Amino acid sequence: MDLAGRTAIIGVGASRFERRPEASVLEFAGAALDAALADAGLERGQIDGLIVQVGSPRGADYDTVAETFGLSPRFCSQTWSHGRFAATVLTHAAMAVTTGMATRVACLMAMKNSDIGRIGEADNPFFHEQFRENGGPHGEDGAIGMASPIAGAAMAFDLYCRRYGKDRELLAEIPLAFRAHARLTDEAVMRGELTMADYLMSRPVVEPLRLHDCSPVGDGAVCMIVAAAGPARGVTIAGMQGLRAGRETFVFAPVGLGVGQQSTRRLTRAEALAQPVWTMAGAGPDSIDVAGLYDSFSPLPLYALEDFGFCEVGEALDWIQGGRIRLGGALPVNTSGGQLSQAQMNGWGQIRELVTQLRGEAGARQVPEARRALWASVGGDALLLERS
Amino acid sequence: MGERIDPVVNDLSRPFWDAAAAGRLVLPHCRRTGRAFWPPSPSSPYGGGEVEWREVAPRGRLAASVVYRRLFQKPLAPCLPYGIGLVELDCGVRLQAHVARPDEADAPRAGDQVALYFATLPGGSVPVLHAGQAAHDRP
Repeated sequence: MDLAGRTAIIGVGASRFERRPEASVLEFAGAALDAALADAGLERGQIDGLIVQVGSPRGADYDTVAETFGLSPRFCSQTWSHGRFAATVLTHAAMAVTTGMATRVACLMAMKNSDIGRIGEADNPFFHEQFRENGGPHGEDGAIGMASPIAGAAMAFDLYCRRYGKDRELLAEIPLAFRAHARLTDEAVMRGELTMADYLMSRPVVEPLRLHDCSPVGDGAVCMIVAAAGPARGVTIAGMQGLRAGRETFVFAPVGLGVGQQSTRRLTRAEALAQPVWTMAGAGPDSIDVAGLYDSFSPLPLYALEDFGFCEVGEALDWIQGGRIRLGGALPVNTSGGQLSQAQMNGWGQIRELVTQLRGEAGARQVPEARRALWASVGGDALLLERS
Repeated sequence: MGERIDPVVNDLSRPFWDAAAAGRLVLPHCRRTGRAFWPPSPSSPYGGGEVEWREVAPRGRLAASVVYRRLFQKPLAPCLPYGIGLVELDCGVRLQAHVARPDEADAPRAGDQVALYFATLPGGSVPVLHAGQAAHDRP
């Protein structure tokens, strides 16, 4: 069964993005759900599918969401309490709609981080992940001091710079470009001006990464409603790709970088252009008007640019310079600030922004004639969206 | 009770930690292909089949490293700043190891041959993997 173009995102909504420890995560979830329903012109009773990302302890689980908001879905699912499943959730929704398991699926990511400390610290509910059997989800190993997700991102970036002989300061363009975009919104968590001098002065956390290479923790929710393609304001899901796993995969490195037990064989250009999201949509990088790239840490978009064939392997740090990924450039990326500046919303804020762009509703951030958008994570999951 | 820093030791991982306590580095190997692998598995990741633990030379090349300037784990406060190295063993397996005093002139740099050894960290009761200059004698 062909999924390409069969479904659409017919409504999007978000809560405010903020740090409000005294709030309930259900307040964020409800704000996003109601905004998405209003956007789609639907009532709660018309939702018959519910897929939740994150869940307890950072968010609300699917059963709590349904009970709290009076939903009665007949198809429910939930992914684990991390990022990396945004496109996968929307893919599951598209599959459910296409196969008749549900007709209107609310996809919800709601989480609250402001009251639980930093991942890696003992008072954070994820502390024990660094003692997960066979290693933490980002390469953590608490027994030797390898704590917190940033360490895996730092290790991969150190190896990347050495392998390709690149100056790590070229990385500054990622947080600087996204901050410039965030300043054009009225909702980003981080909207102060960020200069190269600020970046260079920023506190080292786990070298080679600095504070400005890390997305700030925040609270918020995003909801998207998937249904059969057709409605005039909808954005069609033209291509989908799942998350990779295995010995060739490290969540914060491109294929074949040589971190963990990966080989050192990078994707060829032909392999990058044959990624499932491209073949399903019958499209390639040259056709993309605006992109959302997963950026919990600033090196991650580099790897997605290479693995999805926007540039050659080892060239992304040079390729992003000169305004190419900024508004007005050839490939504007994370036009609402990404996770580094808008809010760490596990990629959902970026997908919502792509929908806004494709509907021509992005105001000062609008990419002219935006017709086709790619969202991608270095871990492999991806969505290709088209203006209906 | 202080903050946890000891690794999880169970039936699957115990051969590694028993050897570590004796100062030896052992890795699981695929019995059929002879290949070493990591992390531990009850069956070979190379097509399944039996696994046996064998001693390997505690040497390798430092492929990359990071330096912790911020404290996440309270027991390690006396160690800050400390490094973590990604070490490629001659058998092809990569392991991560603690690197003490990364700012000192004799600290191992990426590309160096390094020696792997086991030592305890503050708050820990089990010796864990460290990487240091291959030329240095280790206790």
